[in-house]
Amino acid sequence: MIFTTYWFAVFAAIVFPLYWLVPRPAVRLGVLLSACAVFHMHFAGAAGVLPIVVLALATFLAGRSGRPGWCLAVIALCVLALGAYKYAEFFSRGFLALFDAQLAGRASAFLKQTLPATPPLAISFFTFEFVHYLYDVRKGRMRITSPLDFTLFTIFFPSLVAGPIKRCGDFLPALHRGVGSVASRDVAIGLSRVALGYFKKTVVSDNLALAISYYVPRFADIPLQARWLVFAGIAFRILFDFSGYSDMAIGLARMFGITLPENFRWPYLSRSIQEFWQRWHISLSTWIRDYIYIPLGGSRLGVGRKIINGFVVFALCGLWHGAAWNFVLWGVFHGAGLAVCGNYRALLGRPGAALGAFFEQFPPVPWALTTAYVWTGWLLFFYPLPQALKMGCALFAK
Amino acid sequence: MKFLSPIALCLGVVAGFVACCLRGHYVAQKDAFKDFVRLHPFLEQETSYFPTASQLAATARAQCPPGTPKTLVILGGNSVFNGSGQTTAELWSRALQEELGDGFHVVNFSAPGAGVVDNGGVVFEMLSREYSRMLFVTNCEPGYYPPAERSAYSYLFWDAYYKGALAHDPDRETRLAGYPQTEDGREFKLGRRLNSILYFNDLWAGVAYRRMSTIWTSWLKERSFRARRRLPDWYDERLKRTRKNPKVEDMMPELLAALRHRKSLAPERFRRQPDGAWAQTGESLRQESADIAALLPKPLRSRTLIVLTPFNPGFLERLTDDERQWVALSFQNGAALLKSAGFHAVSGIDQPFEPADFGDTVHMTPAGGRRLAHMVAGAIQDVAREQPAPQPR
Repeated sequence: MIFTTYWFAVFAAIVFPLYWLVPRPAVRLGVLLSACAVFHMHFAGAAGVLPIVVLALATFLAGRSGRPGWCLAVIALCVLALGAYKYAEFFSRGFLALFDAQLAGRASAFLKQTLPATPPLAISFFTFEFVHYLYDVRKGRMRITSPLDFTLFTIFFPSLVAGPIKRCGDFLPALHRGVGSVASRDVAIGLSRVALGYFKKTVVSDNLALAISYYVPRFADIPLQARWLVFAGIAFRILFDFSGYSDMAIGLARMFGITLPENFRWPYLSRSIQEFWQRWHISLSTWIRDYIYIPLGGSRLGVGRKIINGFVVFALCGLWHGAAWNFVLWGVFHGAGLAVCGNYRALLGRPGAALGAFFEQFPPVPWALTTAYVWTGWLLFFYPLPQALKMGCALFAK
Repeated sequence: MKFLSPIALCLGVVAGFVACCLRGHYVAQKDAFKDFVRLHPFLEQETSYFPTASQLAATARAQCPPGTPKTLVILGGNSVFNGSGQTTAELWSRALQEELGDGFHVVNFSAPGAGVVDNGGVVFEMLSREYSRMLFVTNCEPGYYPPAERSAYSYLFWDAYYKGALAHDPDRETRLAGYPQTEDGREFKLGRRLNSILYFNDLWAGVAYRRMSTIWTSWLKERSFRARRRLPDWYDERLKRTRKNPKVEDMMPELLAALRHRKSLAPERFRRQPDGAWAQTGESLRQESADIAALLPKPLRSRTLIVLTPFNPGFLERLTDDERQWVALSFQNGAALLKSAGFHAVSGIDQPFEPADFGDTVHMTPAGGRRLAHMVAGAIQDVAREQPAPQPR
């Protein structure tokens, strides 16, 4: 947890006052750029920085050229790099092994020799931001000509580790506004937000994580009400962990005078899976919508295609969270939820319409169903399928 | 920002931060444990509570202020000296206090799993400039002498070190400079360095002790957030529930296997002589001498008594002849090495302990604790007699 390290505390204590006290925006921009470079170098190391520099350079040059072919090639390069660093081992062990165990073993050994033990820091965030930029350049929506702007878009440290995933169309104007003049109001709001995030992460989420790690191995042996509490604890733990981190990122950016997009809006108040994904990790879900779902055809090609697109998109979303089958399963589970929620009225005809009307009249019912569905999903997210099933069953056993 | 101007909020944050630092500094000097008896799991790192070096030193000062015409006896060491298996009423260090009488004041800073100079040794070194009459009494198993900076409670050493509370020791500085640097180690030390300026760990330890803790722990479950001062001694609570003596006979195979894994019985430390007798290898003796030399700065050693606490004789009987010889050699060589380094040392293996004095292989029953107290009291008095008369300050 980078933002709660002592190193980061010292770093922040030096960088922020320096940034605030520098009178000229150009110098302030330099301070911010240097700070981001130091941060990235410290936490990623040379081996983690180099691949990002290469990808960033390729992205910048392709974007600057404005040629759709080049943009497409670099998009492919970014996706390949992400696949190689983060998913190659998973595909060789979990996928190739289904067909040829020996080949999978050899591939796995080769990958272990050639690739670093851990992928470059935040490579999936970098990839998503590069792909978004190049896609938009291809569509003629934007082009960054200043290397300084592009570098800051790439390595802006508050959002580097866990998002929110930025869009350069929003970020660059916010960056220049912030560098131009930081108001005390921004600093105050940012500080409050960082404090809130810190509390959510270190006090709530970390304590829940300790309790969960103690109770989950004993799940079948604890009283029924305690099992339900642990079930809820798992759901709140990931919410407070992730949203706490996002709060810190948004707050730190705001202390520079830069506004980042919101990433969470009370997701457990959702009354449908669609609504949940409009409130949970918003920057990811909108990215997936804009750069995978819509290019695949979205809902424009009929109900069947819409459902298939939903499954594909959410399987990829699950895979993005981690290179393991349980994440894929979690994504597919949400894809199924979305398919049901988005289409039951059309598919069931009159009963579907009646059900929809009932849900609208009694909002606690769809809220309870959505919450139960999403929380059950977290069991698939965190645990292997047999364990998740056992835990799910234990919630209803004596 | 409806109710508060941004400037006021920022100033408030800065003022609050400074106030917390000052409070932490104050707490470090003043906030001692109330009615302190020993460091039990509810008061140490096993339950995510990290008493600071300043807090322990303040506890010793509160119990026996400098200038009092008493000899302060600081106990260190592991679970044997911590009185594992004894309630506070039965605690061996209470018996030790009674044996020593009013001229001494015993404070027990031993802790489960602690090395020779963890906790107690750090506090002893911190207070050595303040007290002219002070002894450090600790225990260990022969052959196992981890330095305070690399042992189970190393956080306490680094806390005191970066606060500048330890005596200057060039040998130690050379040793510390030679350790390999890791990313985690750098981060840990940076935290200690910052704490020596800002005192946030001291503030947290004070708040967690007096008001509320902030970390959930499986030891305490729903009581995790309760102020630590409101929690009972862990051993008192546990022994109230299971007062039955453990059935040592039932656990004999596991305990015997555990005993055989102890450093004193490590076969690689010994080699057979041409006459058939066993001797400790030169390499292991050299290593142990080096380890002992790293325990405490030289000037403090003459005020330090190290007790090589015995093994249950009932278990020793079940060892092979060779293993018994290794144990005897370990204790004999351990005491000799400690003495040659300038420490006082007592070998517990030579003392008349009986199987009934032990709850397992090494931990004492209340009766064994009393016997231990008697033995240690005699040794303390001998060491105290050797100390030069205190200089007027």
